[in-house]
Amino acid sequence: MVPSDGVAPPSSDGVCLVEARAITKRFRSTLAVDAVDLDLRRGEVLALLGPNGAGKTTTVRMLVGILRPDAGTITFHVDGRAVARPAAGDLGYLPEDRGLIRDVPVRRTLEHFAVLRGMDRGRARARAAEELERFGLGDRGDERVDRLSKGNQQKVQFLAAVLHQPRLAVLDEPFSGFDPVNQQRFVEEIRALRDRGTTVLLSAHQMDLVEQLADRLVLMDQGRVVLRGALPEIRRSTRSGARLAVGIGGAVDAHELESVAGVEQAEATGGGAWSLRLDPDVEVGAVLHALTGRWSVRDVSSSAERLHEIFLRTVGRSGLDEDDPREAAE
Amino acid sequence: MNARVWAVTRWEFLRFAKARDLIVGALIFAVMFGAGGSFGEFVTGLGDDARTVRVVGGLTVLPAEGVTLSGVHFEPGSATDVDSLLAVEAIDAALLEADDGTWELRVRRERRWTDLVGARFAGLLVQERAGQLGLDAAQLRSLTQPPELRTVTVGDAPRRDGRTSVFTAGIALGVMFMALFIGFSFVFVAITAEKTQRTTESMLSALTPQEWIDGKILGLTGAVFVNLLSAVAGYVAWQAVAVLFLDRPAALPGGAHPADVFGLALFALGGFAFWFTLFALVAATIDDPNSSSRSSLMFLPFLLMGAAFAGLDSPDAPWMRALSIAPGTSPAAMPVRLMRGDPHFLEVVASLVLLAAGAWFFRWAAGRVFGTSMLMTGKEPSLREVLRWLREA
Repeated sequence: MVPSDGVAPPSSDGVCLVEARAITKRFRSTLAVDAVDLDLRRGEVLALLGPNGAGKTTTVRMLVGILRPDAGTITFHVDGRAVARPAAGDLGYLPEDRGLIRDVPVRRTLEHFAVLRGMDRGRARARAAEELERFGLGDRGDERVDRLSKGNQQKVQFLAAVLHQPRLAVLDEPFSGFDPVNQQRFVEEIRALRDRGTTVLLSAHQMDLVEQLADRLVLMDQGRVVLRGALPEIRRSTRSGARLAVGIGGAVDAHELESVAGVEQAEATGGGAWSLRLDPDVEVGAVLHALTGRWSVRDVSSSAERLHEIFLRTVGRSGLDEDDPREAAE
Repeated sequence: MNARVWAVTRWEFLRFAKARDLIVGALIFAVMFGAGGSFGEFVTGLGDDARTVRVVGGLTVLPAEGVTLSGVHFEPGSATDVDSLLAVEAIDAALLEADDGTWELRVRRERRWTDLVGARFAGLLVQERAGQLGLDAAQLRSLTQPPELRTVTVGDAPRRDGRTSVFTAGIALGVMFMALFIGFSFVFVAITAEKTQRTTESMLSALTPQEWIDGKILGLTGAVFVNLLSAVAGYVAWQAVAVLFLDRPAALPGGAHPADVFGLALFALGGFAFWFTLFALVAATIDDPNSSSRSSLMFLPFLLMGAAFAGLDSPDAPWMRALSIAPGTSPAAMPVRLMRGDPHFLEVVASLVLLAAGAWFFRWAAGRVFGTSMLMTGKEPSLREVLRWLREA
């Protein structure tokens, strides 16, 4: 089946793999997820975003079958069949909290996860050896998981989720514990995973990485979907104006800059530099013309509004720190 | 039972039954059995060597070379050097007759074997007085020997074999207790610790909570069995050393009918299944083992099963019959009755059926409770919540 919302990204054939309709989950008096619709298209990376407590993790847990929705349906379209729960081998899951047994060697852990996902033990062993080598952990396969650094444990967790080459990989905070170099490496890994045909559902707080990686975005707040689509579509739908970075000589304050036609918001970034958010209906050239008419403009550059800024503007919050508060299951 | 359950079973078994740990465990058990035996001898003072007791007085039944009676060697001698001989431990005790015909037992310090010396010496005195009364050895024997009583059973052949079967039944109970302790610790690590460390979430997207619990219980039961075998190997090793190098008699359980052994194995398996599934159920509700008061529930089986020890000498008493039917206590009480008592066949069947039903119920309940509670952090479900989940399952 082909989903109706938006255009399929180039990596996707547009066919829907997972279709969630009006899924709802309540914990006591808290409505954690409120009638959420979600489509995941084959071969895409869909980013599920939202502030802490938005309902992302509950949504993810319902999609992977750990929680049962109180209402609504989740359907997987696999090989022309519609099923409520995919075969174990079709799904890979990297949970938000590291989910590895710590007192067991790395290699055995990977084999075990792959066997649980339906892989033959011999094949699992070979794949584990290959992938550990590729991730620079070839000589650490016989060490206990808890002897590895946080970053390396996260690599093992990632491998445990995708070693069996699932159709759908659900990655909840995959960049957690990585330094910037490894974060960038994992962006490439997830892209490669998608290019090999795996559909990826990604939940992360690192907006710059999500922006690089996601074909489409779903932004949740207070249990509901508040935005969805590819980033350009979202920019359009949120009337996201351009950003103008200008260096101005002489004294000027934010009020003066915001009085210029087309400037919605001005923020000083230090040393006479300013970041201006423009009205989406106004031409950048017209604003620049107005600015140069009143002040001495030393330098200027423009860019589209960043995902991070759209996020802040949409959910109206500033806290992007780690970890959703864990919902109690009852 | 599917491939995923077996995969979990294999995983848990290999995790808790490591060859190196088992070998080390067997060696530790061997040392512990050896140390335990030596400690017992030290405390009781009863070793394999006979105690040497000098007898000073007019005892005509005592030959010049002395006589040994069940661990005590009585030898005649003079009173002059008794204290110095005691001081250098050349003799263990001395019996000295006073002028009024009473006897004094002189020792360096009182030990448990001094009672034994008194009992044996009483036998010697009886012989002495019988001689004074003109009774010969045959007359004395006919006076002191208890009547010969043969027991004839008209049903099955008698299985009870006095102290040997008490020893065997005691060992069986001890092994069952050891298994419970090992299983308790394994279940705690395999379920509560994993739940606390949040290691279960990724697994439960691949298999159901019931499959996970089933695999755990099977794997842990297997691991408990091989750990028990390691303890048995340790005991056998100690016995081999004791017999071959220390010239001691072997102390091995015996007197059990093969059918009893089969029954014991059956009840042991049932008991493991029952108690391990209950452990799993409790473990699945614990949020933090450091602060949870629920951990103490895990000790319940030890209290209940401990009651069976009291039934070793009265295996068919009404209360033992009740314990042998109730699922929580039958794994300990029924084997005792099988070895020491005479349970009816239907009692055994009823006991097994109830045990199996109880284990099945707890297995099901553990799966349901774990499926719901494994994502709960910060609080433990109340009993009311647990019961509601089970009703709604």
